[in-house]
Amino acid sequence: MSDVLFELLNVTQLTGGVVRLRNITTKIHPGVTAVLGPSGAGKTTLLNLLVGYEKPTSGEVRQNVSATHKLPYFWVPFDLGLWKQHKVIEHLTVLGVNEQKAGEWLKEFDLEEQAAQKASTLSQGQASRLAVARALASEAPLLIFDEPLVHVGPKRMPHYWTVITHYLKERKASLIFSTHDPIIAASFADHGLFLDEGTVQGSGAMDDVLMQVEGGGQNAP
Amino acid sequence: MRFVIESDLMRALAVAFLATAAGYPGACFLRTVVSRKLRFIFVAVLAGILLTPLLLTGYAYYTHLPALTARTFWLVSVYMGILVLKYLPVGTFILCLNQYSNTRASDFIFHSIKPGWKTTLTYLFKNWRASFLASAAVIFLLAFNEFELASLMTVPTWTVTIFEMQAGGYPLLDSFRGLLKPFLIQLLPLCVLLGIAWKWAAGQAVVAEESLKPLQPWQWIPTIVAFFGVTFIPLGMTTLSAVGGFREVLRNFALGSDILFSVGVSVMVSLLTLCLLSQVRRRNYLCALAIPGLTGSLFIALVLVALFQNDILNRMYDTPVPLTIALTLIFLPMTIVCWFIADRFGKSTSAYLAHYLAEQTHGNKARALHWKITHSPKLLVMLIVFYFAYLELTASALLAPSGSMPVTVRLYKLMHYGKTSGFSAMTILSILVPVLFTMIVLGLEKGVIRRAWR
Repeated sequence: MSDVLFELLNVTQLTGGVVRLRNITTKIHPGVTAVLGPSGAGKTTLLNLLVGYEKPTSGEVRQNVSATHKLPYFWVPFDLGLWKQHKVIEHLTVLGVNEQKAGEWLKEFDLEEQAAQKASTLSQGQASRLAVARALASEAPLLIFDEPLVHVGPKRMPHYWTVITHYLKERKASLIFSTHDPIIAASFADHGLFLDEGTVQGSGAMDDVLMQVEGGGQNAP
Repeated sequence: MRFVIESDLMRALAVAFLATAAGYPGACFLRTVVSRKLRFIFVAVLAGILLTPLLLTGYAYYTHLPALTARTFWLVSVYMGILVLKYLPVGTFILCLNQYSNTRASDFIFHSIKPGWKTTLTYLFKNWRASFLASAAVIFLLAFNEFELASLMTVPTWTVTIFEMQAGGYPLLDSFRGLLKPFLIQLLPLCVLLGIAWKWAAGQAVVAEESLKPLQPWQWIPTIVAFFGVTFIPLGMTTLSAVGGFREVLRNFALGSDILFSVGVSVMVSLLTLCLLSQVRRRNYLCALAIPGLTGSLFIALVLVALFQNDILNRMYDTPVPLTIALTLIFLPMTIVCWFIADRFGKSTSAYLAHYLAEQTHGNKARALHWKITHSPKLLVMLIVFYFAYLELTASALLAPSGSMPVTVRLYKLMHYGKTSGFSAMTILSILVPVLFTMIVLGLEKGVIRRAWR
């Protein structure tokens, strides 16, 4: 894998006349990258640009994602992107995963009892677990998660993160995820990117970014 | 002519406001209902009313109305009543689009923290103003241009007068002279609609989220009355009177070529509409194309008669081309609204992921999923266009090539001879054709998708 996954060059993004990202130039490296920032900082817009769901108003997003894999990346979008009229297990089998393997992934995320349910009947916590399970079942070498497991209770959260971390180590995969929570960012990320009001306020090694953020004071997540 | 236009105007205005008001409880219900099943049933009932051809409703009732014809007031009242019930779903659906209304979040917060009749009234007025006007404008245009029911019930309207002038061989110029006033009258609601569409498109409005409330049975009442009045009773009456006639009609089915012609033209209309919608990318161009359709089928049909009588286009006058173009234009406004709604499904994150999977894996399941999310809603829109094009009467009567007769025109002509079991059976069978066509297409689609999932 190359030493740069994404390179953003002078990227500006306007949505409905509102500036979401303002002239951003930065690089995202392999490993685990946390995108931090308060609400409205531009985290979701940045991830949407990385996966190509949105196109930049100006500037360029260069990607260097491995194309050798069937699915080069998988994305957990801000609204989870579930296929609500389909059964939970079908969210995994549609990727080409066999039923047994799909069942194992569902078990890891405590969803085996909901396997035959339609996604529209899931609670928000269950839905966000399904979105992450689907992403891991894709076996993609790059995962992009927008506020993953945000609706999940704290009791089982460490277990799910352990499953994600295990996946990343086993497949030497990379993860880019957005979060409000600096503790989660500090626990799991190698790199950090701190956004505020659509601009990059800090980037680099996670510890350095957290120091920069703390030094910056009031805008800390 | 002057008196007719004025009474038409007043009548259409009354229908517009009454149907909008009658559609309001249904809109409240749809926006607040929690149960998906109830919402589905309610939408199905509304769709049933919208899809019931006025020709059927008119046919069922008009033979029972001779007693009323002597009293114009009652005849017109019944006519207006049927129109109010028929257009109630239009009101309900447009009022449901209220999320784009011109209420700002601050109004809602102010209303919430300082309840009282004055703030409630202000809130309601601001919250519903744009959608009430939009609904009233659309229903006004529909009611003002209504022809089929008026003709069957012998209610004197400008549409009936102009239609009869054209059918009676009056010079085209005379018909256009008669069209001038109705056209000018329609400009005002058209401007209102364009203004509202402009504001909605600008997306300045923020909507207040309504808290979900339990089902309130009274909200169903107007819709149930409309369903019985427009769909259930007329369909029941016609079916009952047709019982003895089915065998005879099936043994000697004289409408075959008319039905084939109507199906052929309707398929061409759907395909032409699909081409327009997929080729014209810019929404404002599409909206501009929709403007003629808002002026009604009579106006469009007469303009096309004039155009195709011109030396350059005259060769195509006696072909299905003018009728296909007319029907496409007539249903374009409705189609564009449905298309935009269907298009939103294709732009969701779930559709994006399905597209990504289909593109990367080339798996049948992924392709089926992508089709289901992105293209199925659009196929449904095309089938709706097919259905309405098949049942359209005014333009079909004025633009059908000689030697061919659309089935609705044949039915309309026969309807004037009164009600018989054979004719009722013909009506029911003719209306069943687009329903069956739709069911076959949807069934085939479902079969292909199901096969891909195996």
